[in-house]
Amino acid sequence: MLAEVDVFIGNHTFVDHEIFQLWIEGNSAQEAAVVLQQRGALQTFPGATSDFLLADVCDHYRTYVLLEKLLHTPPRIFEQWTFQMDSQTQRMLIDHFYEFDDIVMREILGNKLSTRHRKDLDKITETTGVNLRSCRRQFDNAKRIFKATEEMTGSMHQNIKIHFLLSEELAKKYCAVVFIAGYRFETNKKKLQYLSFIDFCNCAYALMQHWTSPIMDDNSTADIEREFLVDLRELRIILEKEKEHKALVCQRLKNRVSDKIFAELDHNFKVYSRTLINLAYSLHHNKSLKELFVDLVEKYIEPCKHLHWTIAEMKVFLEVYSDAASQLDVVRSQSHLRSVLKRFMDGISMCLLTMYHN
Amino acid sequence: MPGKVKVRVVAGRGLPIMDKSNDTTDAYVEVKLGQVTYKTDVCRKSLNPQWNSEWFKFEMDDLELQDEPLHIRLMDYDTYSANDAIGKVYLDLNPLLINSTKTKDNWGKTISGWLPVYDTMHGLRGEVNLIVKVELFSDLNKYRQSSCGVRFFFSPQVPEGFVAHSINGFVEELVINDDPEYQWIDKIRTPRASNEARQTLFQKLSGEVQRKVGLKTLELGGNAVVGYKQCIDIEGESGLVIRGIGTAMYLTKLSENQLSPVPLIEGASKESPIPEEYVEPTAAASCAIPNNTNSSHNPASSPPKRLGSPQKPIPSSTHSTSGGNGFYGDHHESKSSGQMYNGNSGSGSPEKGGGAAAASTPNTKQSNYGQMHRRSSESDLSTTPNTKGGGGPTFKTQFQRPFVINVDPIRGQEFPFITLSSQFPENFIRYLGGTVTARSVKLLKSIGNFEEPSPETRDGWWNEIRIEMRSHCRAFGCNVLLDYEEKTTMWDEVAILSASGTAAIISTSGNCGDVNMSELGDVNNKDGHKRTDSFTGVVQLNMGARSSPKISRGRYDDSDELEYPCRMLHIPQPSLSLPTIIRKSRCAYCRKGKVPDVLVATIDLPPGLHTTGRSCLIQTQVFRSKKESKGEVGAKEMSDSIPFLEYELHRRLINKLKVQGLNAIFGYKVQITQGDKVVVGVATGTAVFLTALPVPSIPTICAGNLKTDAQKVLQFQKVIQETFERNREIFGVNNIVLPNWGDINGSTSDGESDDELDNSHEAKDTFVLEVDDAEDIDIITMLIDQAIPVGYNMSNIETIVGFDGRKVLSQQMFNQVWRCKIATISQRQLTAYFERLIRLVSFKLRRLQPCVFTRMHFTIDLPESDEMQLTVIGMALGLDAKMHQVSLPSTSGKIGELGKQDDDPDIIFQFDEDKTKLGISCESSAENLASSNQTHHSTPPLSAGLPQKVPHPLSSPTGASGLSGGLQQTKISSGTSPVTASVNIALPLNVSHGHGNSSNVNLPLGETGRNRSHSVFCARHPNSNSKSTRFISFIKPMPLPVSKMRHWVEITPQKSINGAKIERYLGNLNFYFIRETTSLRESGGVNTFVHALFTDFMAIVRAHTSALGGNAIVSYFMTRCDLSDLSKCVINVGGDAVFVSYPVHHPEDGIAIG
Repeated sequence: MLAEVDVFIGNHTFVDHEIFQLWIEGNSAQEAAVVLQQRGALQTFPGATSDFLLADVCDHYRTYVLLEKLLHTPPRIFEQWTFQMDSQTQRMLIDHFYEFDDIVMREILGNKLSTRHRKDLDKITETTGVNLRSCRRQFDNAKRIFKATEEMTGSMHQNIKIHFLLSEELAKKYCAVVFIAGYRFETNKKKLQYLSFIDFCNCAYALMQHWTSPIMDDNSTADIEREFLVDLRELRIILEKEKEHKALVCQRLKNRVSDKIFAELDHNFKVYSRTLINLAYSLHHNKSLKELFVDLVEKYIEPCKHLHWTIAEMKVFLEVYSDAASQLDVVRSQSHLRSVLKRFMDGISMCLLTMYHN
Repeated sequence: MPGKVKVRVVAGRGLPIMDKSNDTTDAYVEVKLGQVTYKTDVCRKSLNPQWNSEWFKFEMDDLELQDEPLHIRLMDYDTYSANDAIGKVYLDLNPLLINSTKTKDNWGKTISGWLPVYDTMHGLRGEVNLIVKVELFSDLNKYRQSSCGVRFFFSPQVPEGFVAHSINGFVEELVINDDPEYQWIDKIRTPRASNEARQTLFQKLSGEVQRKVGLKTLELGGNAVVGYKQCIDIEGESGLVIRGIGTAMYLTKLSENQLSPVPLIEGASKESPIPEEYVEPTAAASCAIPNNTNSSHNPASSPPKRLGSPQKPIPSSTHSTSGGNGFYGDHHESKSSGQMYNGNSGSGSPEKGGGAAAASTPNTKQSNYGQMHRRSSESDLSTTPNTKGGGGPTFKTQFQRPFVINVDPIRGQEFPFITLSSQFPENFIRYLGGTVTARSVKLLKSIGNFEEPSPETRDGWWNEIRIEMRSHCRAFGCNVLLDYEEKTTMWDEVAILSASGTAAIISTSGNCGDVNMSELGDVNNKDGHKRTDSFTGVVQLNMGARSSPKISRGRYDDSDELEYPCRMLHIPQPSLSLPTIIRKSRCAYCRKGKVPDVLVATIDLPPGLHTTGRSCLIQTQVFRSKKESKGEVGAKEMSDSIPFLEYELHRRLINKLKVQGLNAIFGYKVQITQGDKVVVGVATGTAVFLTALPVPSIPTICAGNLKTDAQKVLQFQKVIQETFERNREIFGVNNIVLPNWGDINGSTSDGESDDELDNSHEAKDTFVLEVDDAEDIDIITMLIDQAIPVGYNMSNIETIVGFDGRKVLSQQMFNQVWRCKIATISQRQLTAYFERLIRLVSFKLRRLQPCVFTRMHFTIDLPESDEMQLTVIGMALGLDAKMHQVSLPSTSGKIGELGKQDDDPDIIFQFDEDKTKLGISCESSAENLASSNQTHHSTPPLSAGLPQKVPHPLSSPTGASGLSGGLQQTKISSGTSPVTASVNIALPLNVSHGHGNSSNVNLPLGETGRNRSHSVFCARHPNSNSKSTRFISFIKPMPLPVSKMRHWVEITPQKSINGAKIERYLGNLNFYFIRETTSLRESGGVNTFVHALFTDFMAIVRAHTSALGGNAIVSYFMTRCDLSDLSKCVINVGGDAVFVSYPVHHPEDGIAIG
């Protein structure tokens, strides 16, 4: 007896975590029922058949589909009469709905968040093995949050938290996603493939922390400060004092890095320094900014890897390099330049250190 | 009373995108009441518009206010094309008309909040925030047609926090109108316009019926309609009918100070203990009367009539305090008022003839009044000899909801019907007769050609049925029908009109029994129905009737014995010659009265009746195929068919009951549904074991003809026998422990009961199942219910027997719609569908288990010739897996009452104490019982005896009498001490009523003797251990599915919310929804469509409740769920909006049942 209609509705909407998770993961109702049956859902209820389970799953699924519309604007969950839930469940729904797989989001990052790219999701499914429906949800969520917060002023983190009621941590992750998507940072080049979503997240945090406007007011945005990028050109002056700079660096690095690296620096300080300063010089071009991560890998990380720098050595070097530069008379005398240098070096160091791994 | 309505449209939110080009909407709002329409400004490009409109004011006649809902229509403004409709909100203003004058508190004066915007084509489309206020002016016009101020309660009981002063009578009204769906204009309208026209009409007619019922209530001197039921019959071409029935009552609100504990006083005649508290409410009532008369609803529109009833409470109060002798005065008083009333309504009829409101034809009216006059005069005659104190009115105060009933007026009524079904005060029901039903088959075509549909024909039809019902009731020797209900089912042009109720004798100040008896003769003349075939039948006559109330009264009152709670089951002696043979046996409870072997009643289990074991849902389904004949022939066929259908239903149900090992059915409901080729009957009830009634005998199977294999018969017999035994164990009735009323001589009672038993053996034929062919075998196998999954208990009434003391952790009202294609159907399949449905629902609610389902309501529809749709609505209560106070046998515990116990911290404390004292997991009875003081006395000696099973002959119904071991003796000595001793106990008011149920835990002293014996009962229940382990076995670590969301709206088909106290009733809500879709596929398939439909209307119901200031809907119903054409649905839902308060303490503990 195939039921044409089989609908169960309670006054309170009960969200079964397990079924909701299966839905979130993009399983069809049939698939979910099979999974649940394998997990022994029928064993607790003598006499239950698989069609009972399927009917139950379908009830839940229909509820989730109806809920999905509300979940697109999470605050509506709290101001509606249709689904009665306790606030704990409501939060759980939102959190789980906006939860994403890092590997999927890593792939999405490289794509433009527009409907045009939605069809490219098959590829993501192929590479990640995550269900297409789930990929779509993750893509749509990212796109939705991006679209909603793109034009907003104020702290992006706060904006996401307020408008999507996400948990602190999840909101932070979305900040990174929106930030990276907003500047269209190149993340998909082959050379960048070894980087995980978390790496990009941390890089984004670094840039957001150091490169956005330091003044926090109502008009502040999550954008990289344009003036700062322009000012970065002035760092070229450091190259002019290369000898002085090198001396300071080497003096301070002595005994803090291996002899091999010390020798390398002694020999090639110019290369290292120029890579960094030239990068800073070019960042006011949008294209260079987009290619930031590629440049870092190609011009800095790969050579370092080749020479077997340890991460500790890199850390020390970057610290010392930045310090020494600010000690240069030309820099020390200009407090503005000093702060530009610090912001640049802080941001770039964090990126480099994050990205320096295999 | 003209009124002024003020409406302010504040804002909207979540509106749909109407302008696809820029993803926004330019919304504005039209507010319409009657003929006046206002508009707000257009709020451009926003899905969350802020209108902040001025106050729109409407000046309306109160008549219109009652009939017309407020229309709020949201529109999308378009510069170039026609504006598009977004959706509508219909706002019933009736809840604001109840006490909008002169009440100080602000409750129920405004409607304010976010209300979902509904569109018949799209479902919910955002919300709109409104504020609505109503001001009513006093108008004492005696010819008025409005009935503002009359309160309506769907709940079939005296609402919590109210005192009932009188039952003024049965009120009914009916309106008929053309169905817009069938008018020519429908052909040229858009579907949306058509649906809205229809939905508007439904709302309007609904308001009109309610107003007219209110008018009749005022005429009867009532101020409220309780147990109001409203139905819509969509007849098709012949129009649509909305019917309302209810019980007119005079209620006053119980003020807070009266809720304090009240000492009970045993009256001079122990028969009717009159609580002292009674004086208070009456005093309050008498004060309240002037107020009421001044205020809106009690103007002097018909002064003489009105005078009658409100005054009654005053004299009553005098007599109640003065005791027996005082009754004389009162009798005359009420008699004369009764007369006065009758006279007035008689004279009132001409003046009413002019008013269009009169529904019935002048002719019938005249004759009715004639009857009334005669009746009242007769009652006067018979009153005189009968005014001795003993038979006095049982004015009984319930602890929670005083119910001081003067039923006198109802005696003067044409129809002594009461639509209440539960929470009757103790001693209100003197005798429970049995279920009475009447059905009539009508052909709709015959009246289809009238220019204007007029209600006369329909009124006539219902009148016939009511007369029939009345005569059946009297044939039982009963004076009222409780839980009176009227239903229709239609197919094509054939309509089946049904009425049902429970015949009973209720205590009144007079002796209605006599009156009714003397009238028996003249009502029995049924006129043959010419044009239409009419069938009427009486079913379920398992009970006797009393010939003369005097005799029975003598029996109970004069003998100076204590009042047995089982009294309402006793067949009055000597029994009247009844239309059916009744087998009688000695009452197993008190060993005094005679009881029938089975009781079937439509009402909820009355408080006070002692039960053993657990209750269970019992259901049978029967179908008969019918020819595809139309019109006259079809009606004839139907009319011929129904008696057989009904007989078959009943036979199976009773046999099933026997196999279950239980002996009574409450909440008995029969639904008959016509389909294209079949007619299906479904009988549902809740089976219990009434301790007073005998243990059922096992149905015997015999071979009907020679061909049947004798071996097979034996085999079946064995199966039946095994099932019987198993069921008895499941339901905990295999060891019935009977009370020993110390003062009764065992040997004599044994002797007597032997006589009775002999009688019963002779009349054993009911339980013989003849096996003639395969069909009979099918029937036998169907007697054996598939076992209900462990951890569930189901019932279609509110009372769950056998779970007292369990905590309710979560509540979930559920709707399940199930529909499938059926090519051919067999009897067995039909049953299987229902069984499957129950299991399916259980499965879907598995997270709540262990749980009980209450008030399950099943509906079967046959929308197409090859389709069947089953719907079940109910309330699931998730219980604590642990047995706090394990309990089994008990008196009926009212689930609804739970919260009240929790209100009292003392009780909680007491429980704990009891737990420790009891220690052992004695599956004793209700928390209340176990915790009552007597348990303290009785338990210690018991605990020793508990583990060992008391040897108990299973099969012998009288076996229990042999039980009285030494244990029992001890208990009795501690328990049954002078029964009549003045046991003036301060009962906490919030404790539920019913003696067995009295959780008067915190009382320092013992209760009445009755209660003692109860506790004796429960403590001794032998097979307790096995049961408790069974329950504990399915404790699951599942998370609580439904936490206590008190800021949300609880919806329940029950009359109260578990663990909550109803603070205010905010009005009865009744909604009609029409939903259409142009493409089922687009809306996501049938299931999604239905799912969305249900969630949508429940959202609307919740929002309206909340806007009224409520947080719950009680007595929720869905009378119509017309999904026959899935692309177009009609749904009618409603309930009483209430504000409930929850106890603040121990939220995790849940709420105890009991």
